[in-house]
Amino acid sequence: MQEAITTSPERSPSTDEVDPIDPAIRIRDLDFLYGSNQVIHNVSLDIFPKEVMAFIGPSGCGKSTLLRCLNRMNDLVDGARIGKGSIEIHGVDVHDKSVDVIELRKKVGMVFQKSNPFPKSIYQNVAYGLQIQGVKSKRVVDQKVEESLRKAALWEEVKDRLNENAYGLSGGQQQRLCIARTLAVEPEIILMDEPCSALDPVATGRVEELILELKHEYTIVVVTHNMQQAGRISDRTAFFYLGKLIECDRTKKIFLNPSKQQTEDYISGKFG
Amino acid sequence: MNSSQRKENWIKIFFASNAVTSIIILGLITLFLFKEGIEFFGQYRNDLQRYRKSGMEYANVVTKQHDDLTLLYRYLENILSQETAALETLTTDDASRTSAEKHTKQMLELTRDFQNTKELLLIYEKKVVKWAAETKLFLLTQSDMIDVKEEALKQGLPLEDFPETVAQLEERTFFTHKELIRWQNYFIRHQREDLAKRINPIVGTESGTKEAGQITSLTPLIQASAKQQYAEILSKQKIKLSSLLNRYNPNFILPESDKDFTKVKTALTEYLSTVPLYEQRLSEWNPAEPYPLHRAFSGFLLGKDWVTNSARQDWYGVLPLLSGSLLVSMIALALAIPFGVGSAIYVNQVATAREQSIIKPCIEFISAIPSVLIGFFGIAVLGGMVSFVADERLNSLTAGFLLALMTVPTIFTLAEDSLNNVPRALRDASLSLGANRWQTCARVIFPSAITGIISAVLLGFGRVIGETMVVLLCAGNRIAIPDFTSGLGVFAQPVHTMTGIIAQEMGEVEFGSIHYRALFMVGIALFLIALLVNFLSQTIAGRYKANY
Ligand SMILES: Nc1ncnc2c1ncn2[C@@H]1O[C@H](COP(=O)(O)OP(=O)(O)OP(=O)(O)O)[C@@H](O)[C@H]1O
Ligand SMILES: [Mg+2]
Repeated sequence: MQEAITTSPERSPSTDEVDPIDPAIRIRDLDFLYGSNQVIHNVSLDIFPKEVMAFIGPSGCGKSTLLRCLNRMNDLVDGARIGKGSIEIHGVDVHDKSVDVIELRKKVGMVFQKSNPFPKSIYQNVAYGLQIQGVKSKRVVDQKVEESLRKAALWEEVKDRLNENAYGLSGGQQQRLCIARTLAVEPEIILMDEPCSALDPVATGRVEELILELKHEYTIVVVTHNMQQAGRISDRTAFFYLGKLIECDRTKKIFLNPSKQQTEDYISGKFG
Repeated sequence: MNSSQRKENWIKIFFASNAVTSIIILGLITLFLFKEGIEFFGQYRNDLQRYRKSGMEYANVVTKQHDDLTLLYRYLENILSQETAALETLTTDDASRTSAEKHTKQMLELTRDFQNTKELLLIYEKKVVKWAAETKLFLLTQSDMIDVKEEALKQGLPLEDFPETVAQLEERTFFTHKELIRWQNYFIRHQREDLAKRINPIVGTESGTKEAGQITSLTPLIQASAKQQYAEILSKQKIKLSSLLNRYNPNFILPESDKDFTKVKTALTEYLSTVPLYEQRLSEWNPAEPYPLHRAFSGFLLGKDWVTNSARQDWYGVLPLLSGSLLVSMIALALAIPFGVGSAIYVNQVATAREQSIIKPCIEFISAIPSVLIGFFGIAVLGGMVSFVADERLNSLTAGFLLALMTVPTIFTLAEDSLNNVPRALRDASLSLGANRWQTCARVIFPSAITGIISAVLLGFGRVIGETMVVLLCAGNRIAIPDFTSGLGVFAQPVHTMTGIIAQEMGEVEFGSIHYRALFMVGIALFLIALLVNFLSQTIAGRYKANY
């Protein structure tokens, strides 16, 4: 497994090239509307297994909306709907009627901008996803909780206070707890919407390390406003502007040599 | 100070004064309630002291004993009538008829005998009650006279016609009718109708023990009679009853009469074993013994009777009212909690925006219906429905149903608010972990809102226990502690409530009387309950806010 992963970052030089690996997520010609307000225009994008994909772009350009389309969190918004196009995850159209949203969300986990642990104990937070799946065995749950907390690099800090309320943790710890909570459900894809925007630089650093660690096992899509962060953690970057995908390429290329003027303007701070 | 600052100050003062005014008014209400209520205990103690001193306490013991005996007598009468009826069914040529006739006759004699024994006690009881009633009247007159005298002294009226000192008045054992009229006329002459009114001369005219036209303390008489007559009656009774128990062994026609008679015998043995207790209580009765103040407290807080305008003695025990209020509230809450919280969950979690826009105003409108109309509905419609399960149309169930209807909006609105206050992010987190809507609701949203929901329920309880009109109209207004041993039947019993009694009796009581003050005490109890409930719900709500 390790070996396969070490080769992966180099496998997708650019979107125009035909890729030999099947994408984990394939978005085609997607239009998305809130009521009559179209916020995503004709977006096509592939995200490959075990890479970190960063979404960047000025505020309101539809990054969160696109992200929430991937695990159908937009279903909860009245009037939100797909205009045209499709999103396939491992070849299955996620908006197909036959798709079980619950199963989809187990496979596509999500970490939110503001850490949102449940007002329960640390242990209960991580065990939640298993418990709703009906896992009864305490041994299995215990094991999974520890494993997830270790993966989220939180275990050492909380192992002696598992039964304390999660609200007693610091902001950065809470965010890592939310990541651990997501990992416990064993997703394949993790969506992160500005996971560090409420954290201080130290906590941000730890989450970034964690993302780099996790990409060995998971496909990660991360929305960020922080260009340096996108540069540090992502393999590829997609730049959105006014609901359109302007450019998607290897992160190095986007930052050093973008092919579109708008991208260069945004990255160099001319607007946004 | 510039003008904008000044303006700001004025605005500040305006709002601060509003807040201060409401606090002051709350304080005044509290103060007023307590001022009017607290004197109750002293007055009630004095009243109970009179109850003892007059001999009414003694008389009530005799009455109680006589009641016990009457109960036994009713059993015997039942057996007799059922045997007589059975005798009718036997034909004249029936062989067993003659012996049955003989036995029935014996039974009749026995019952008569028993009645005669009972009669002795009854006569004695009537006599003692009459003496005690007159003595009580005397004591009331005496305390009125002392009050009037003290008042007149304070106001500096020339009282040389009435040289008796207060201490001398306290020593008096009788007042004559003429004397009282003289006092009264005196006050009328001095334009003091208020004092004149407090003297009631139309008393004591038909006393059989002293000359007419005089009202006398008969305590010594009761004391003397206790020693002699009562002892005589008891010894006669004992002989009669034990002979009945031991010798009489009838041959009943009906097998159930046999059973009943055995029961009577056991009851009789029991009665005989209690007689020494009565004897002891009566011999221990001491009219001079002071009645302690704490007995007035416990008499109110733990008293099982609320009896007013009684010929013998008024009792002001809050328990029947408190238990009635609590029972009705519990019924109301048991119904309102599932409905209120359930519809809050539905509206908050499931309903579409359109459904919400219909359900919410509808439920909230219920609280705008005047409670007297809800009472009408209870009497006219619900009472009839409830009477399928209960003996009476109006009972705690009827009132409970209606109060539930009235609290559903309170609970619904507050519970919905607290569900709404659960951050969206928690719901999203749960859903993104693959939980369905119900799991999310049950495991995340509801637990997060639970403190808010509890405080909603507590406020609902506060509303229920303070509600007056509906319980007054629909609770049945029977002043008695509900019989909790009757299982589910307890819910079908008519009850009276703390709010109901105040509304019902406050209009009729004499200002400043014990009864008046007792009603204020009930009000204070209600006030304290409301305070406690509010305090609890606020602490809980406070904890809940601290969570996010
Ligand atoms: N629930 C909603 N209902 C209606 N319109 C919405 C809703 N959520 C977002 N929008 C609109 O969709 C557009 C895209 O919003 P979105 O949140 O996806 O932007 P974003 O790129 O994530 O911005 P940011 O960087 O500020 O988070 C915005 O114009 C926004 O007003
Ligand atoms: Mg966003």
